[in-house]
Amino acid sequence: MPLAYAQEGKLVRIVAIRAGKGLHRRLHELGIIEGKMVRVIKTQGPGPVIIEIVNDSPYVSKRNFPPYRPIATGGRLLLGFGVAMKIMVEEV
Amino acid sequence: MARESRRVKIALAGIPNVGKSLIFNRLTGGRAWVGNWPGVTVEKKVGTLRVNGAEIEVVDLPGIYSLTAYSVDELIARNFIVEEKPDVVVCIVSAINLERSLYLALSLLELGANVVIDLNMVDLAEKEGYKIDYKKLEFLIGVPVVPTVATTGRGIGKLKETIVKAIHEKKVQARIVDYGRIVEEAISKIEEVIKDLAPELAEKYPARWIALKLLEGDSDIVGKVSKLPAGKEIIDKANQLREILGKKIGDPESYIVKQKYERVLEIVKAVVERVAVPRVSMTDLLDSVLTHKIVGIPLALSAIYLLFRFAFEVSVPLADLVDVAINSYLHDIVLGIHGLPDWLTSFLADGVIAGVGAVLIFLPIIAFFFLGFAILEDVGYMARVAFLVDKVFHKFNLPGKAVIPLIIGFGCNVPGVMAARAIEDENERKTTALIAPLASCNARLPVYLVIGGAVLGASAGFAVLSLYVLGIILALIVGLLLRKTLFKGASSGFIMELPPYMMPRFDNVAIKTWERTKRFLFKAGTVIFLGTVIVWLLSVTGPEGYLGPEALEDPQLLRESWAGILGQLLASTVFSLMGWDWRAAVALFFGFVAKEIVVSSMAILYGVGEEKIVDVIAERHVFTPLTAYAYMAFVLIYVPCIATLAMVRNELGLKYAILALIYEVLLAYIVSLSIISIGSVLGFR
Repeated sequence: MPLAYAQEGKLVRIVAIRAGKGLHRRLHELGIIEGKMVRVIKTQGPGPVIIEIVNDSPYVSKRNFPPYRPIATGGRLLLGFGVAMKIMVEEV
Repeated sequence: MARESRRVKIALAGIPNVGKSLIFNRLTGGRAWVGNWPGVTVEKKVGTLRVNGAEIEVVDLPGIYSLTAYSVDELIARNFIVEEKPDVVVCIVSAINLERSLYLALSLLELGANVVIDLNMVDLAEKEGYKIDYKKLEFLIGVPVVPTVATTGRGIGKLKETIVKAIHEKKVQARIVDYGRIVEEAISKIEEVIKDLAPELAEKYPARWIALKLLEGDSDIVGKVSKLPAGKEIIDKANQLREILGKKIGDPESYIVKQKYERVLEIVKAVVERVAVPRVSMTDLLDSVLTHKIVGIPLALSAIYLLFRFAFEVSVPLADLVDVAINSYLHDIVLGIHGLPDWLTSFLADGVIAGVGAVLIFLPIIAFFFLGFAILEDVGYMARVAFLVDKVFHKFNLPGKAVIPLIIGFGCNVPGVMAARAIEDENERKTTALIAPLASCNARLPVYLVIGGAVLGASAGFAVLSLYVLGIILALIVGLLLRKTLFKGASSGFIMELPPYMMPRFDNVAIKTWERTKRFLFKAGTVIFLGTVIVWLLSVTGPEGYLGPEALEDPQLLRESWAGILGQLLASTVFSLMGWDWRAAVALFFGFVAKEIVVSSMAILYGVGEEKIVDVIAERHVFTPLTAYAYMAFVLIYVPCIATLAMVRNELGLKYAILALIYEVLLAYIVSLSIISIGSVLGFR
């Protein structure tokens, strides 16, 4: 399923990126890499999406604060409709 | 090399939205020389950092994610670092966007730059409930790290100190990423070949970096290496290794990027520590409404409407003041000077002063429009608007980001065209710059108001609104046509950083407002001023020579001027189907210079003051409602003004400025004629 069709609030895993060389590299450099998980913050399904890259293992919590959610240190990205159609994901 | 005579130079690098321009201002005191990088329309900013009596040149590099050959901005940055060898490269890393920021930092280190990390926005990370152990980060990547909060100035002093120290203690960490045994072996082999066959190359670039780029197949480096005498041999060796690698690890380029990213994640994992439960995010709350699937777009329209109201209401007193000061007071003073020849008095009063007035009267409204826009932008709302419209814009082969030049264009088309620079894809950028002039700018509004008010009565408001919508629809359609013909090619992809909402900062807003207003004032100002003088000249002279300033008061005499003759020619030929008066046609001709001149020209042509023009148009039945609406549409579409064309030429070249001129005039003609023909078929008059 293309990322453009993913539902708002869902956690999805990137399975494939169907883009040309330049865009493929750009996405990799932004942290959008096959196998990584992404939370769909906003979507106009199907349409552009706002995502947050989520790392599998939550960071250490030394002072006993429960990691309610993994720390997203990646910042949010807006992916246009065209780009969101080229990223294949599956729900996790 | 005469190293002593060279000024100490540092560069600022960072991904978009890390607060780089604020850091630049903090370091340089906000004073900057602004120009373009050679050969491209990418802005270059240079300032001076004064510290302990020393003067250090600060160069602001474009906002980039990496140092590949795929993007112009990235090529600029890496060529600058390699060729100009800045003493220090300050990499601004956002604490709330750590991964992508550090990826760039590692890329800079690999290029052999002497890096200082500015870990910015640490306050926002604390709000999110985590902390970054910057000492540990420093240890892991081997270069100095300074935590800062650019918005309050926290840590800036320390940053300056660290920069000065780093100038004398060069640290190179080109081996920051370990790519694994297989790739590392290939890298060393190429490195050896380079050092043997092309030592001059190894002097300029770190050999390891060249080896990596050759393995990635970087087009720019492959090109540069092949030009060397031993180039072919090096490339052959690299290609051979690439092939072997390809069988073991897949595409080497993809593998190298992923490995580097893994390294970034390792570092992030080691330095980030949760220290508190995160607060409920204001950004999430706002976004749940502002980017909502259904209410998002209506809210955006309201926001833009409010922006217009704000600009108009607040600027009225100032605009009136300017009007009185220039058109009455200054005008009268000049008329009162005795002993000047007639023509000179008229030149000063009706040419120069009227020209300056035409520009200055719009200054308040445009300044307030850009003030409001800069606030919306600084808060972070404009990125959300780009998200909201992307689905629609995508259908027209344009990125959602293209909406921003169009909205700026509502204020003034000149900075609107320039704002298209922010679009990365070349085809999309050129298309956007060419359609931005279709956004109905502030100078067109008086024309709508005068003619609509005189002829359309109660439906005038609706008619004016429809023209704004028409402008955007036409922009999208023309955009699609351009993307299907001249600027074909798949989009390189619309991707944008989406920062959290923030309070607008006074200095940011002030700088952005001033920069855009300045474009209107100087660029538009000079061109419009010159244009007004030319209009004056064409009105007071004719085939019979100098007619005297009386021509401007006397419609009969004006008929004999060059301008009058041209208008009659236009009215009886190309515009004969439209049913417009020759005076209206002349006004259109004058409107080439600037749209606001259309109203004042009509006033002159009908021999009345501008305040009476509405009554005259209404009483003399100059227009029927249908011809009036067609005229307003024509004013919307045909050539925004000479200044906008000059800006298109500046950004895209003369060829495209001519293209813009031709397509706009043709489109205006077609649309107006369609309005008249379809309207009359439907029974409108």
